[in-house]
Amino acid sequence: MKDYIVNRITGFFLLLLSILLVILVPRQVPEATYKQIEIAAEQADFFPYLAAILLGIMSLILIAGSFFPHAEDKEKSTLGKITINREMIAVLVLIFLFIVTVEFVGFLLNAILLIFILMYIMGQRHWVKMAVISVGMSLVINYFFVQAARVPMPPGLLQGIF
Amino acid sequence: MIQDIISGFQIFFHIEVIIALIVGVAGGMVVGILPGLGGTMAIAVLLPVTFGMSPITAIGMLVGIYKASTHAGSISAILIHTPGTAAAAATVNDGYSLAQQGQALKALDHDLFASVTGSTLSSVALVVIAFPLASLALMFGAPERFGILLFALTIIGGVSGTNLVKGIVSGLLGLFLSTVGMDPIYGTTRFSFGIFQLRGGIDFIAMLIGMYALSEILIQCEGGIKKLNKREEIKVDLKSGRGRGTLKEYFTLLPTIIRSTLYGIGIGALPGVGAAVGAFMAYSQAWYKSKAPDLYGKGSLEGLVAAEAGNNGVTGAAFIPTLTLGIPGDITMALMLGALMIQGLTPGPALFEDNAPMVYAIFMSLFACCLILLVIGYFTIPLLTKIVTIPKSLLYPVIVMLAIVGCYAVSVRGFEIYVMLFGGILGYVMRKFDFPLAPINIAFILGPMVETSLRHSMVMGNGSPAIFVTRPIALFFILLAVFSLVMIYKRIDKIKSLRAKIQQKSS
Repeated sequence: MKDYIVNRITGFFLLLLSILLVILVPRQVPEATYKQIEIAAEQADFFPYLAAILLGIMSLILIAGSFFPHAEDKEKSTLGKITINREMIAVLVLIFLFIVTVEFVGFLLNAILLIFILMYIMGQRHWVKMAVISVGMSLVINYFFVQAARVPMPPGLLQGIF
Repeated sequence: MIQDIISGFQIFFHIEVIIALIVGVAGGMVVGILPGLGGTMAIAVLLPVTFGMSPITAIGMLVGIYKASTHAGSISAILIHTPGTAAAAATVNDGYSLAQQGQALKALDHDLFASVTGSTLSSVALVVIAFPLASLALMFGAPERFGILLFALTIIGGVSGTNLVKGIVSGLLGLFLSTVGMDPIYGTTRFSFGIFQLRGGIDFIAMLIGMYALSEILIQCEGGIKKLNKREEIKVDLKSGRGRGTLKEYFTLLPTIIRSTLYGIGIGALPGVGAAVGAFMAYSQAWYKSKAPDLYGKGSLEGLVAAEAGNNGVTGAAFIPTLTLGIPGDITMALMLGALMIQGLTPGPALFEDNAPMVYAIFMSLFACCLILLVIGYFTIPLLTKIVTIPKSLLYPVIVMLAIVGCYAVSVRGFEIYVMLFGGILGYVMRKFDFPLAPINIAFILGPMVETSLRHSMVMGNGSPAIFVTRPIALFFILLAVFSLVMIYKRIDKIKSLRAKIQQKSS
């Protein structure tokens, strides 16, 4: 797709977003009930309104600009081209699974599994390196955060061992 | 003042601070060398590691990462023709040509000397300018603060990318995101959507880790397994090189280094421009003034040191607006600002008045980093070059893990990891659609300050924006912001071609 068309679509999307935000402001920003506020700028909704309206104006400028494109914007480019592959999905899904299971499985086991599986999905087949790095790094990170930074990492299945 | 310096020395001179500086510099060298990582990602991921440290230990380590990674990006540029960071893109041609001519060690040495000189002089500029500027800033009220913030955000939005409108849109998105959570004046909860964790706002560390670390990993994953397992080859033979750089050569190159550093300092003190532009501007001026311009791009030592001095000249100066005004010039400085705030230090003019010894201790850490960089850089070059060959498939899973644990450590709950996922996906999409990330993140961090100063100003003016016209300093900065916008619009083609050049060379 040509750049100026991508910019036009992006502009329309942003315009819709700004309209949605303007609609959301009165629903998501309660009025102060404990104080009589006479100046509009003092209200909590002043700044969100301002940001959303300015976003709408800039979206319109982006759309308008797409009707007067530069020569280079008329050429096909990779702008807006999103390539979704196995590795990307794996990264996102594994992070999600990590959050969901961390309390039960525990940080250390989860970390070892995540690093090892990601290495495998990213094409690494050197098993010894994979095992050493995933176990070693997880132990180092766990030790540092639990012992040095005093962050209580969930022990999960290893409760009482680590 | 002398008492403050002595107190600063007492804060700074502890063994754990020195160790943190060494670890920071060594870590910065490693991440800087590896193409696709860089100091910003490293600081974002490692920021939570510093939570348990004392303020100066934490800041010292991050300063070490920043300074060393800015320099180390050029090592891979020289050895494998791929800059480790965008800022090293100007070094590629001359550095790699020198290496191919059997002068790799000489190139690496002068690259280091120029970096350390640039970095040190830039730190001197910070020390000289910071205190007077902070004293001046103390006189500013809400309208003046708003004027400065508006100017900074305009510049950041204007020059961070190749499209002025997209830069401003990015900044506005950041401002809107900053309104999630408590209203900074009355504490009214906004945009929480009934989610308890959002009542305190979106955590900026998790957001930044997502935007910079996760989105970068997603971009790198686009190339698939082949790219992730590509092993970089060092095609130059370090052993058969024609010796190392000499002091005589260094002194011959010194005038170019100093001139280029001054360009770097000028660029570094401006918001949003960054080290890559500093390097290219310094390189262009050196070429213009050179007696042998034909050699540039084909193995000119002068060109190499000009780019590196310009690149590293930014590193101290970038702290000027961050420390004195509390306005970060780029995203690395935004992270530094966050690190300072986590440590209970609020950057801005008050920091210089209330906590001058700490400011001096930070200055000392900047100079100490330069010295440590010189020592580590000089003696570990052959060892560090081996890092270039590590495949990404071994590195990225560990970075993902560090990113997760970093977010978790922010508030010991999984919600921040969701914020990171959101930031990562948003950052990825924005990059694909050519929206710069610096404006959204800096506006997100500065949002509460912008909102507070704007609303206070309006209240001072009884609801009328005329207050900004009646206050000369505020008016000056607002007009400067408008003027800058016009200038950026007029020169957008030049900015576009410079950014395209940087992007092309760094990929």
